[in-house]
Amino acid sequence: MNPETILEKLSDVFRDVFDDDDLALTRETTAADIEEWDSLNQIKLILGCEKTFDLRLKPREINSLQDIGAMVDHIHGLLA
Amino acid sequence: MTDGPRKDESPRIRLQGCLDRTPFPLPDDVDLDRTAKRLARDTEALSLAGASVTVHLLSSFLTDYLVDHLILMFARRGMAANIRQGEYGVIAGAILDDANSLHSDPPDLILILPSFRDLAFCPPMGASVEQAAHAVDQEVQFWTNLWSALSVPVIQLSFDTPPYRPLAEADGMIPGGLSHYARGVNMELAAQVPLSVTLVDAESLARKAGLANWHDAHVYNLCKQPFSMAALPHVADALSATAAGIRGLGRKALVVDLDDTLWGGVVGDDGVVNLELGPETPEGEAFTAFQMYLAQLRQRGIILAVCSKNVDEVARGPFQMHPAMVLKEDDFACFVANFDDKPSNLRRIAAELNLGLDALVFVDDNPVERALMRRELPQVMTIEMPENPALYATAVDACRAFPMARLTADDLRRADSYTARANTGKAMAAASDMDGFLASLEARAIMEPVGPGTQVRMAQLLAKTNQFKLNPSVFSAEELQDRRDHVIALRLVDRLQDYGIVAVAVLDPATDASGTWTVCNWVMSCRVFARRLEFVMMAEIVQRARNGGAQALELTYRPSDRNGLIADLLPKLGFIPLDDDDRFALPVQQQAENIYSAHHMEIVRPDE
Repeated sequence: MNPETILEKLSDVFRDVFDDDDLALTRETTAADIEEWDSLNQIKLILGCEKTFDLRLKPREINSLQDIGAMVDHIHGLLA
Repeated sequence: MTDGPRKDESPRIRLQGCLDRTPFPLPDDVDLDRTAKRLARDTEALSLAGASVTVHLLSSFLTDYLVDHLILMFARRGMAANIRQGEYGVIAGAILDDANSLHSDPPDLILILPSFRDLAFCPPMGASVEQAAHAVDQEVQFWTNLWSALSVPVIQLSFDTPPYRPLAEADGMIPGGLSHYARGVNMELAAQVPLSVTLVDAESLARKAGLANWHDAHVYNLCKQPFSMAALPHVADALSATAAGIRGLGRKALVVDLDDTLWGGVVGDDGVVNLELGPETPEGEAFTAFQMYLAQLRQRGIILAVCSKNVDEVARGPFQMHPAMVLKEDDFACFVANFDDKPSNLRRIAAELNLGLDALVFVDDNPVERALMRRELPQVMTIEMPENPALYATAVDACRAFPMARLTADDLRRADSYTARANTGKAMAAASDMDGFLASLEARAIMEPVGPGTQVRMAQLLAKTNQFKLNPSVFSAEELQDRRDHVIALRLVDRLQDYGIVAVAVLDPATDASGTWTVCNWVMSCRVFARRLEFVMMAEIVQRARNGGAQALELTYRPSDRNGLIADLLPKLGFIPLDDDDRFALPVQQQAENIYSAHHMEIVRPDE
């Protein structure tokens, strides 16, 4: 799966969790850009990613990622 | 987008849009995260769901995700829930704190959600029965004390059993096992629960959710919610249904369609005798099972009504004439069969029963009728029926339409036969020998004539049976019709069930002066082995032959790899092998009357 596809699928996960179909992710998006991105939604995001990409994420690794670009690369690395 | 209505629509449409995503019953794999979140944030739409109910949540695990689902499921049951979450992980502390809002600002309802992790008096692994019982007493006393401090209705989840079992199979079996202890506590809690507390069966919920969804260690590690996200709608559904029951919002009557709902086929087109109903066919058996489930609902006090598009007397035909009908006309408080639209008929039924439309459940196999009902009368609970009638009862059951905390004498008022059945049940449980056991079954062997309703089953039994079968000869339904005076068929009914036609023998009368009749073939269903039905059949065969003037019976036994039991049986029945390889004979006139005694069974001959 290439990084562009991962970003697209990641956007779907975010739209679902935040119930916002207009939500658009870029590699530069950070937690500060999305108002409702709290710890509860963070867990939903982790579970959503695990389901969508069929992998296990370690919360500590996820929490240290700076922006969506880093997250895309992290998932890309796990899928490789 | 498919997840609900747009935000610019009216609050009522927004509410309905959310509720449309929650059919009855909920599909096992339903994902309602977005819908639940949307409704929880839309106070304007939520306020239209019904009367406002303040719910105080006490739990030993994280309930933040559960709250949204509770709001959605309460709305689905006609309640606008305002949910207050207690402090995470604090149950007893909150109840015992006089300053807590539980006491200073009492809610309408308290939900208490503990888990096996809250069991506080677990006995040691090597505990004796007495030690474990003592631990159970302490645990139960702890909870009864807490309950006595509360003045509003409580719904409490019973204890689930842990996902791991250090004592392996013994964990649920010996006094020191944790699973054994959790179950023991649940039983004793149920025995001592005051009227103000209703328990929700966690073990039943866990079974429904599946172990992997109920105990999700990964999710628990992430956020201290014990079950997976997939279990949330079902947990919330069980709690909301129980709440509806407590608040008087449980349904009271079930309205059923007839054709393809209570029986297979269309009575007006197919005629009573051709309906699929009863143990002869798999489909028929499924409809019987559904009727039995409805009969049980009626027994616990649920009102049944009929709403059918039919001519009234045609619709009543099967109730009066079909032998396999479980439900009788007088089981229904209201019988409406006409060609008016069904929403109008449901209004009529509600008026006649003096109930609100929101007390009705509508069961119909036809998706068009269901869609119309949903659109015209959304207050009625319209059940999404599966296509396969074998799944009807579980579909209705999964809707939790009739929540119940306690079974009252009032519920059972109309259940006349209840005591009588309980007594025969005791006789059966007490029977320790074969004769006593068979007698306790109160079996009746009903001799069935060959006719339009039976000949197909008889031919099928002759063709399909492998074990109890003399030889490979088969007979078509038409042949059986031609030979009807010499066909013996037996239906077995006992206090447990109607097994349908389970034995068929085809005789050939003597054609010469020798007086030798032939048993062309004889089959019995393996479902009724060990019921001594072979002796009942044999007595009947001998009597028929004797009445016809026969001197002897002969038969051909052709051994196969399946029908070996016949070889052992023939000598017991008095048959003697002839010189000819597989021919056996029995002199009927000398046969003593009582060799085939069937004292454990009543013989019924319809034409007598």
